Amino acid sequence: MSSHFWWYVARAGGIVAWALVLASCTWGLLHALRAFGRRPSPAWMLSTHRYLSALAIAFVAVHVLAILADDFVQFSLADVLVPMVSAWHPLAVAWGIVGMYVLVAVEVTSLMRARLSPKVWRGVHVLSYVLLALVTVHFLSAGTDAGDLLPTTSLVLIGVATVFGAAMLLTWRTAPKVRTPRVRTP
Amino acid sequence: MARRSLSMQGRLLAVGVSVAVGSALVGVMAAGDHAADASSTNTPSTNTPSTNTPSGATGDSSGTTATPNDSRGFPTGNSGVPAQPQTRTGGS
Repeated sequence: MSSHFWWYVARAGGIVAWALVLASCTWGLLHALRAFGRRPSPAWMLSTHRYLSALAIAFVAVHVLAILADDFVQFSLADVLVPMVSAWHPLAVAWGIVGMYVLVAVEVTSLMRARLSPKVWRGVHVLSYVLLALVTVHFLSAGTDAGDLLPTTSLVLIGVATVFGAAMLLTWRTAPKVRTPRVRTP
Repeated sequence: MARRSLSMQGRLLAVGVSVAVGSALVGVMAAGDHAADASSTNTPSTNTPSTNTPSGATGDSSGTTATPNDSRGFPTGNSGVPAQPQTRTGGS
């Protein structure tokens, strides 16, 4: 086994977790917009959205635990749990730590949705877009695999698409509903 | 009839794809570093090594020093040793 095995696992786990967060946000947006109509069913879309979120948390756990297990970069428990404590690029690491907490908050409030008011749940859930921005900034600033131009460009395009999608959702939600009056036949 | 929730096959597929992509990334990273180590050992260095003390960050199989580290053991990648792959500069 390579001496840097856990270092590779940490990086790969982080990339997969980021992709899963992106997929979950996209899936949730498509679900909220009812983009596919009734097929697949909204219940299936919601179930898939939730499962992608759970997978994202699992891979964040892999990312963090592998960083702790690795001895190539020496991170302590406080370095990966407390923002700005890490000596290595503290701000870049802090984006990821805050993103991790936001992800957990979104997941926990979703699991407790039945016990929460819709307003509270929605307020926390909208933070998903902030979460995606945070982890993308973390990926670009702390990640060592985003140095090429193509991935950077792709990430910026994804960010723009997400903001556009969120704006579209907001517009769609707040738009006044227009009902066509029924014409009664005499 | 419309599906009400994600099937077990779908769940297993999602886990499988995620793990497969992660494993492939690990393989690509290891292969890239291995190739970089091989090329760096073949390139003679004219610079003097950094005064930083390496802390266990040695090459995979060549036994050469991969990247000098700072006081906390993070690879700094800014010394006079042969160029190292960017993936050795730390981070997550």
